[in-house]
Amino acid sequence: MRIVNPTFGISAAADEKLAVQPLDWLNDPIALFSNSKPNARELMDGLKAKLAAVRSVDNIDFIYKPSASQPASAAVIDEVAHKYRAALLALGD
Amino acid sequence: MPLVLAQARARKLEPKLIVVQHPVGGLNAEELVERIDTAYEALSGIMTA
Amino acid sequence: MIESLDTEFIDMSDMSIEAFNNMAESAGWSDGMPLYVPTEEAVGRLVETVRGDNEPVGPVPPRQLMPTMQSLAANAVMAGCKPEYFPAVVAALRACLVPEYNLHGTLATTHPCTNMIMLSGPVRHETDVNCGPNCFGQGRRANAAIGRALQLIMLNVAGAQPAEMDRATQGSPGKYTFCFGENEEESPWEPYHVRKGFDATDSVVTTLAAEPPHNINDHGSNTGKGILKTIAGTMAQAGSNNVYLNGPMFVVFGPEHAQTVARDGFTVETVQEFLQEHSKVHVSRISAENLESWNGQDRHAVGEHYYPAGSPSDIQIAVAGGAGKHSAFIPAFGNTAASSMSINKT
Repeated sequence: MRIVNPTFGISAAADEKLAVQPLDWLNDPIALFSNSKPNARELMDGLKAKLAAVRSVDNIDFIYKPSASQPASAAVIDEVAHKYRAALLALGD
Repeated sequence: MPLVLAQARARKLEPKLIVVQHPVGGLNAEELVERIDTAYEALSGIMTA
Repeated sequence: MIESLDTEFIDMSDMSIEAFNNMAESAGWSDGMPLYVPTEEAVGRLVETVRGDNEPVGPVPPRQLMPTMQSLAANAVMAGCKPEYFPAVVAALRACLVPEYNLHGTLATTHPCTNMIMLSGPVRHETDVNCGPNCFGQGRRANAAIGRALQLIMLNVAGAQPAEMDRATQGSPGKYTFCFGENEEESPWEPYHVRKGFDATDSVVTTLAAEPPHNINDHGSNTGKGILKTIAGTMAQAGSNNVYLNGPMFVVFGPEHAQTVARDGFTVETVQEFLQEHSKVHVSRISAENLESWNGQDRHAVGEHYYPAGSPSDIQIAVAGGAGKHSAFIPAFGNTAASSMSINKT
């Protein structure tokens, strides 16, 4: 007897893993990305302050979704990908 | 965490995860400082790796 | 657990139904209730009903896979679907995939929403879905299997494994199945799908990321206004997602309530306007912490009230059920849309 796999599907993403470029944590632009749940902003602000103490460049920006219950738009994700070399995401509840 | 990993892998990415304790009943100022310190300590490890 | 994500067909040799169910449970394919076996032959009978449908389905978030008609039908077979149910299952999935539905968010949330399915038009009779007494309850195969099939697709194709991708705090019984038909024959108003621009002869499926039905009991009111006041009072909940996120919601009138409301001159539009105005929640019923949190998200009260619906047209009106003086309020996830899709038949 053969059955049909109920989980079968073709991946919509490309097969190969994305190559990660070398990153200079002390100088490259960084995005702080919040999922807009309570305390995400406060946690990110704390990280930003600590990073600022060891970095001489002020190029860390705070970005957040309009709502915790909606995914970030493709335009926002594209903008982050083009403008920043690293993104720190606050996730969970 | 399983959700974050699964979503990232669906996009062929391997994220670096920093986990801080879940705040039941909200965070007071002292607890928030502890979460920030924990997150930054782990981030420092990633930055110097 | 079978590592079979890349394989469309799996050889099970002479496995018994019981052994298949044990295997399916350990593989994470099951909702906890016994499954039919998705044999190639059984799946083929369902796929035959959508033979001319070549429009790709997906990608389905969060896993972002493009399922085949065979893998979708495998879930429908496991749920107990007869072949004639399958076009409605496919249409229901497509309805959930429109961007405004926000399927990713509705599956990953801690909120207990499930995918409500309402059938309108001829498909109700073709599938024998229950539109009448106990339409939200047990007893009819189409209601049980069509709703269950969509939920199994969410589990197995979308990847909404409970406590993993599906982060619901408590979930709801509606996550097993939530499907019913509109009682067009006993409705005083035009069918829902006709009001949405479809022809009366179209078969249409409507989905909503919804909580299970909240009952509205009104045996005492003998006027339309009285019944609507009771319904509005039930909608005014300080703890619902809708109260601060707005978005769509359903009010499903029992036929008796609907006929009394219509007798007193209410149209669908004036019902929506009445419910919008009278379901508002005074800020004194909202906790100070929530008010602070919502203000921080730019979700402010209008004057001294929060309105569950952003506008009267967000309140979706339908008629279903049998005799008795009950109706139902079906709140939703908030950031989502009621989505209607015509059923392709070949």
